[in-house]
Parts: sequence; C-alpha cells; structure tokens
Amino acid sequence: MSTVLPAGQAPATLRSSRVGLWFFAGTSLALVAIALLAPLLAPHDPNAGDVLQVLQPPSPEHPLGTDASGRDLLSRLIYGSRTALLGPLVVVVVATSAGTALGILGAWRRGWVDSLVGRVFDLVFSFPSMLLALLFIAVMSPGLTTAALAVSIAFVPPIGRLVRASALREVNEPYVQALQTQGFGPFYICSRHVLPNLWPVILAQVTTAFGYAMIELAGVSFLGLGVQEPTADWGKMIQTGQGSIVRGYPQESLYAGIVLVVAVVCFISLGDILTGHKNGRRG
Amino acid sequence: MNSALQVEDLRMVMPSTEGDLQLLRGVSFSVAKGEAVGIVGESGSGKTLTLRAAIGLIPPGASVTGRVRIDGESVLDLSGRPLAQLRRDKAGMVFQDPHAAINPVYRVADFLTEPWRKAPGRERAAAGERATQLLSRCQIADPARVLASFPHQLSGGMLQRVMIAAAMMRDPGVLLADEPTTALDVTTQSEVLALMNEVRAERGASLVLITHDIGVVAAICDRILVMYRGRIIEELTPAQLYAGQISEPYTEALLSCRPDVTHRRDRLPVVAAGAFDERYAD
Repeated sequence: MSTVLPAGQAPATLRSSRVGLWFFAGTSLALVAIALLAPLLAPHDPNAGDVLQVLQPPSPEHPLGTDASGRDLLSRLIYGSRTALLGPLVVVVVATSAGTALGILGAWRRGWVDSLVGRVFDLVFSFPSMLLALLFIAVMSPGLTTAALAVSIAFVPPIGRLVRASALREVNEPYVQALQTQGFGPFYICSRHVLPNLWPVILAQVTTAFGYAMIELAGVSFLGLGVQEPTADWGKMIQTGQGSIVRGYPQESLYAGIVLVVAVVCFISLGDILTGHKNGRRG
Repeated sequence: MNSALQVEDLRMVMPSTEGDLQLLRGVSFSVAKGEAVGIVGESGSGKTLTLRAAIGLIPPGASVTGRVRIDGESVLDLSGRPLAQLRRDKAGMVFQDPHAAINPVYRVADFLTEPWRKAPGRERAAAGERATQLLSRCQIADPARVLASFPHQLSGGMLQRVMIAAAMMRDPGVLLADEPTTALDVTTQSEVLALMNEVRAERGASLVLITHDIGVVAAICDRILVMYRGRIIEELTPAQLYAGQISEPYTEALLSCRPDVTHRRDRLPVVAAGAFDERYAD
C-alpha cells in the first residue's frame, strides 16, 4: 500500500468531484449494508452444494450460476462481502491504533525515541507486505484473524509516518506550549488536544488503507492462508475458480474478481477524495 | 522570601555544530510581590528564553544553570507532576498570538475551565462562574456568548482578553506576558495592556512583561530591564527613562530607534549588528 500524498491541482474527474464523493460513499455504504443483511439477501445457503448442479450457467434458480461444488455463486458473493469487510476492518483498527500511538510518541518525544520508532518503521517497510504477512501466518496458523493481524503489521508504518509528520507540525503549535505552561501533562495534551486535530488526516488515510488491506487480504486468501473452506471469501473464490477456468467456466473467478476490484476502487477513491477535501479546507 | 519571582545567574547554553551558543549569560533579577517589571531588548536578546525558563520550559538540547524561584520554589529542580502543578497554580502566561495559542477545536468555555474538566461537579460549576466573572472583568460585554464561541469567531483583542482571563483563573502569584499585544491592532493594544495590568494589580499578582515597545513598558511598569546578548545590561525606572538618565550606550541606541512624533525622520535608525558586541562581551 502507499501513503496518501497531499493532492496538488487534481483534474476535474469523477474522483475529485462532489458527485464522486457521494457515488463512492454510496457504493461503500451499500457494500456494508449487503454484508450486514447477507442472510436476507442471499437466495441460497452459500455453503450448500449440489453435485447434480455443478458449474451451471445463470438461471432463474441461480442468477449467477454455480461453482464446481454446485454452490450458488450469488449467495457466496453476498456472504463473501462479510469477510471482505471484516478483515480490513480489523487491519485498519489495529494498524491505525498502533500507528497513531507510535507516530504521536515519536513526534512528542523526538530524540532517540523518534529515531527508534522511525528505524523500526524502515525495517518493516523494507519487507514486501505480503512476505511479512506470510511469515507471520507461517508462525501462527492460517485463518481470518491471523491473516488480518499479519497484514496489520505492514500497515502500521505508513500510518505511523503520516501521523508523525502531522503531529510534528501540531506539537510545535503555540497552543501546545500554552497548554504546557498551564501545567497539563504530555498524555493529556496528546490525547485531548493533538489527536482531535489529527483526525481529518487519520480518517482519510484509514479509508484508503481499508481498500489496500482488502486487496492484501484477498491475496492472502488466494494463497490459501487466509479464510479457510468452506467460508465464502472473494479472494478464496478467485483461487477455487481457477480450476474451472480451463474447463471453460470462468464465472466464479470472474465475478469474485470484479466485485473485489469494484470494492477496492471505491474505498481507495473515497480515501483520496477525503484527503483532497481536507487539503482544500486547510488551504 | 518576599519576591514573587527570583532569577539568579541564569545561564543557557545550546550546543551547535559551530561550538556552544551562549543564549543566556547570567541573567539575574527579582520581581517583588505586586510589582510590574518590563523586559525590553532586540530580537534574539533572550527575553523570551528567560521568561520560558522561568517556568521550566527549556528548549530541547539546551543546558541550563542558575536558579529560578517562583514563590520560593526552585523551578529548575522540579519536574513532572510538581512542575506541572507549579505552572498551573503559581504562574499565568499570556502569549503573543491568542489565535495560535488556543486550540481551535474547543470552545472558549472549555479552554477556560480545562483544568477543572475532571473535577467534581460543584468545583466545575464554580470554575464556570469564575470564568464568567473574569470575562466581564476583562470588559467582555456578553460573557455567555463568548464562552459558547469558538476561538476563530472572536477578534484578536477579544481573544487576548480571554487569554488574560485564563491566565488569572487560578489567581497566580505572577503573570508572565510575552509580547501580549504584538498581534493586535494598534487601537486595541493599549486597551488590552491597561486591562491586563489592572486585572493583575487588583489580584495582587506580579507582572513580567516582554515587549519591543519601550513606551509601553514605561507606562505600566515599575522597573525596566534592558537585555542584550543574553544578559541584562541596564535597569531603569520610568522616571529615569523620561528624564534621560541612561548610562548604557546600547539603551541610548535602542531608544533612538523609536519613531518620534515631534521630529520628522525619513528613515529610522537601526542598531547595527554587533556594534556593541565588544562593550558587552564577557
């Protein structure tokens, strides 16, 4: 994943317009709604196979057809949105908490604490995030929680650096010194004064990170180390559908891939737009 | 111990790649209870550093020697909670730019009563009442509206009054003001300054006022300290200043740089950099 850079003069595209904000926010919210209402929306049990109905083309019974085990693809896609959203949520919560805490710590203490935190970030940065996640999962056991925690590690440094940079500016504001002269402790000043002023930065970064985490987790699932069978998951579906592609039935991988791309683009674009709005407001 | 603030031989050294920088070179002065002392001097003479060091705010990396006592307590020997408590209860500070020195995301009421945020309800209510009183004392006509406002909704003059009220909330023994009117309109400057002086005098607090404006200091202070290159080179009373009884050439030079309504001058003189270095070397 990459850090959200302050956007300069962005061309007037869907991603920079007000319409874009509503479009991407709406789609993202729709995804959340689908995940929450999955049992009501799915026409079939996502895990119930039917050996007589394998690799069916779309039909009124199965709107998107069935997979190699005869499971309804639409239902699996709908249920897949649950793991698709839950995983990145864990990543974002864990990585943002750790990154924000470390970033503010570095900015406040400076000196060797700042250097140490910065070098640890560099160390984590130097590994490809996927490799880092695989190492972690190899030590633990495969599964959604492990995968999410593993991916979180790689997401701490970008957020930590961004927060540190913003916090550094904030910590040098006269109001922080004014608070010190009034006898407030560092923890109080950071949590009650510095943090609220960093929220816009953090929020924009979180939304983008959510999208990247989704790809990363789908990748881990694709390698078979994330969500385990029979739980429905988009990354997993792309992998299990591979076998059917050569037999002339690409739908499972195709649909899962499309949904994944749409979801990821939505979250990342939303993050970009939020970053742009923040920059515009701060001028 | 009868002085509200006592500074003895305060020295501050900042290591740099070009050798140690002597930021403060033995500053000593004391401020009696209820007294107002002004510190003047050019930029970089150490006025602000002295004031910050007086409440234990030392720039990172600098090493400090000497003694600072506020109400008999040795500030430089304190750290952590006792230092925070001393800053909170015994010294109030008024900053240069009120818009920068107040966190913009909270309302004025939150800013004024922040130290009581976790106090029991009765104390919190008392603090709120005190805030209202102090604001009206600071000539704010509608304290309720101001308390409910965000800092950006108030003018600089208004907000500086709020800051003065905030500094007086705990009834500190000494009020430290670092160029409190530089960021304000000329028309509100004298008002705010006079107000600050009245409010602190009523409550028996001492005042240490830093400014570039010698006229301002002469008007409200009992004594004037002239700082140059990290030390106090002359001490004057306003009477001496008006009578022209100045002994140090640097002070003369500083005074000659002021605009004067009685003489027309196309260009104001400046004190040349380093012109007095030899005289005031160690």
